[in-house]
Amino acid sequence: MAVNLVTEYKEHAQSSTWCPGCGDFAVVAAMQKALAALELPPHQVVAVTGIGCSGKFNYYLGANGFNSLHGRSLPVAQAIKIANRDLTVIAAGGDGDGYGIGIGHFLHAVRRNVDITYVVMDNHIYGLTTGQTSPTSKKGFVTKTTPYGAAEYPIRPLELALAGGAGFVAQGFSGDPKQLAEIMKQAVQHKGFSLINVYSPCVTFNHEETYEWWRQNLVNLDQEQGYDATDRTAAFRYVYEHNGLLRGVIFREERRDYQSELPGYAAEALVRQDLSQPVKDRAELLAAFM
Amino acid sequence: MWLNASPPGAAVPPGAVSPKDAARGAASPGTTPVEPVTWMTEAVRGSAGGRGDRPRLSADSARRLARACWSELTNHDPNVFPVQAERRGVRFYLQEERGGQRLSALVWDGFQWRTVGSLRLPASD
Repeated sequence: MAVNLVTEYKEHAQSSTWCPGCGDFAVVAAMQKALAALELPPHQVVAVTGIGCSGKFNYYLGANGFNSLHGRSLPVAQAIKIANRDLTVIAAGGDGDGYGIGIGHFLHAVRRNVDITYVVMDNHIYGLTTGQTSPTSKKGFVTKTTPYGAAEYPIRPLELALAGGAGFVAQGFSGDPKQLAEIMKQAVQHKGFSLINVYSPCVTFNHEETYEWWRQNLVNLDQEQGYDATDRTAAFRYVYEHNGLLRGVIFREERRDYQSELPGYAAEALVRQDLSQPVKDRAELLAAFM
Repeated sequence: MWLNASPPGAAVPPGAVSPKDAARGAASPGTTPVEPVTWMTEAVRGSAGGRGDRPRLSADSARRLARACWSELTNHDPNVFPVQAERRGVRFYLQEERGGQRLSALVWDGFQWRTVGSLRLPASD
């Protein structure tokens, strides 16, 4: 079943224009594998993206897709989930899209806790525009726009998500697609907003943080004895102490999602409800606002 | 450009063989085989081994190097991404694609890795 579903996703996907070796290939493949393992066929899934290399995620996943504006994948994804709770909704983008222009939406999506999964392909650089400093580039990072090194400190997405009250925070690495697929499976199953920040190397423009560099520097939480992913304070401390260089599920907590908190939110998806009203009622309603 | 780069989504070039078949030394029946190691040898030779500031490799040296890279690519840990081999400023990637695999050759130009050619390999059974 799972193998057939992976094939189904691939059959619906478009041919890729990403650079050979791009970490985003592994992200798409891991998501196809995770969705197939959860027995979610392409027609029950929608991927929403913004702009950037990783904005092509929805074209290559092979499910329903919505390519929104730059930094706007999250509001669209939340709206889709609220209108049709039967869909599995995945928002995806890069570090520029999500933590630059889209940072406001990110923080509010975290605290709002709509049941969607947000995958950020974090390569610490703007790849589509051929290599400029991004919001997650480290201080001192040399690019075309920062020839003397980046003067700013990077955004720390994991701490932001933890501080915002996220119920599921994880980090993956494109170089380990097996672990990534497992993280994705758990994130999709989580009821509420889930963040997966994926270190997804840009092989073309980021020559410092290569696959090899990440392999040597990332601590695998699956191999950390005694790490408790249900302790938010410990998660915070661990992320801070390791400067964010972790991979695995960092924090998880069962919480009521946004829809469950809404009084009167119907059990049935909005799109399945009969929203038609008699003309007379509509006229009365309109008059009340005039 | 010293290789016939096929754009993404292009049809399988006549004679291309699957990695599995290539490893067995087999060719697709009725076609002129484009054997990966030969193709990679040309990639290494054409790049002068890297940025152009190195001496051009002999055909034998280039073939040895290509064969080593091909062996690395086809004996890769399936749980690790990407499938990559690199020698003398030439980098190769072998990736799954719709309907088969794509072998890409890239050369370091002093600023970035540039794709200089790719070979579409049909899916092996």
